[in-house]
Amino acid sequence: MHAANSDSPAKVPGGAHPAEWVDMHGDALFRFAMLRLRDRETAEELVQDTFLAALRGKAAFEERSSERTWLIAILRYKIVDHLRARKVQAGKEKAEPPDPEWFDRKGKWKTPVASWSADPASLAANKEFRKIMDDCLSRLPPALREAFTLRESEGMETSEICKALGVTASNLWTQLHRARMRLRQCLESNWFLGAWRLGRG
Amino acid sequence: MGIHQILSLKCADSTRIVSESLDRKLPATERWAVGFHAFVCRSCRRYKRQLMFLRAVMQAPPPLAVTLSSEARERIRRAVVAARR
Repeated sequence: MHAANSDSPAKVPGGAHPAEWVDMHGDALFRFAMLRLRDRETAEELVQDTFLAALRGKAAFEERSSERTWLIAILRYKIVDHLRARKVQAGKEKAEPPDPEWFDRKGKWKTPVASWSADPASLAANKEFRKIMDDCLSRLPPALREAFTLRESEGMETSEICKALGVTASNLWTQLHRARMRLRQCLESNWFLGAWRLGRG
Repeated sequence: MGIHQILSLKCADSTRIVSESLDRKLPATERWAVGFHAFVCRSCRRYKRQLMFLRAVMQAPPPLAVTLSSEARERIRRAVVAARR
């Protein structure tokens, strides 16, 4: 194991003692994990796993330009590993509930789609909206939530996600479509139409 | 996909193809089909805008208030210190 004085002062202001990692990088790593997992307990566990893995492989850091970038790269692997493990467990879980019937027998929308007149960037910073968004994401079946977050939050290519989650491309497209349908319905019911009613009331 | 299918696309199929357009490159026939359908279907036009909205929101960072709890911070700190011994 590497000695504590293996700092790289030019690259790591304030020192790189592993004991200081939690204060220096803990919150940034946690936010990164939350962006993808949206599950506080799992995110905390993976941040801890990341620091422990980093301790074991600290020699690799010396050639890196940023300690935080290096830690985030480790965390990314931890997240993918976690999602892959969840995929294995998912087979033992009970069957997911079927999707609601969005369309009538003629293939037309049963309920007209509402207009969402809002700026995504400002809504993303709105605590109330975030809460509802998180709630809607948590209501997704795990497989759909994982596929959706890897694609839309991580921005991973579909081929990478297929490998990480062990699904075919057409399976993934179906999962993403179902996730988007459920999420848009959830946000429409719980935020957009609700906010519209409040505004009118 | 023939001309009849292009002109008679249903909302159920259009939404699936529009979603897939965010994940794969659509062939011309599918692009024409969903384009024509969107021209005549307000709900499907809105649906497409909603998917772009979802993408934009998911790529926005969470508020800075998202931080480790003090308990988690202490637990992780102890684990790191113990692992160094």
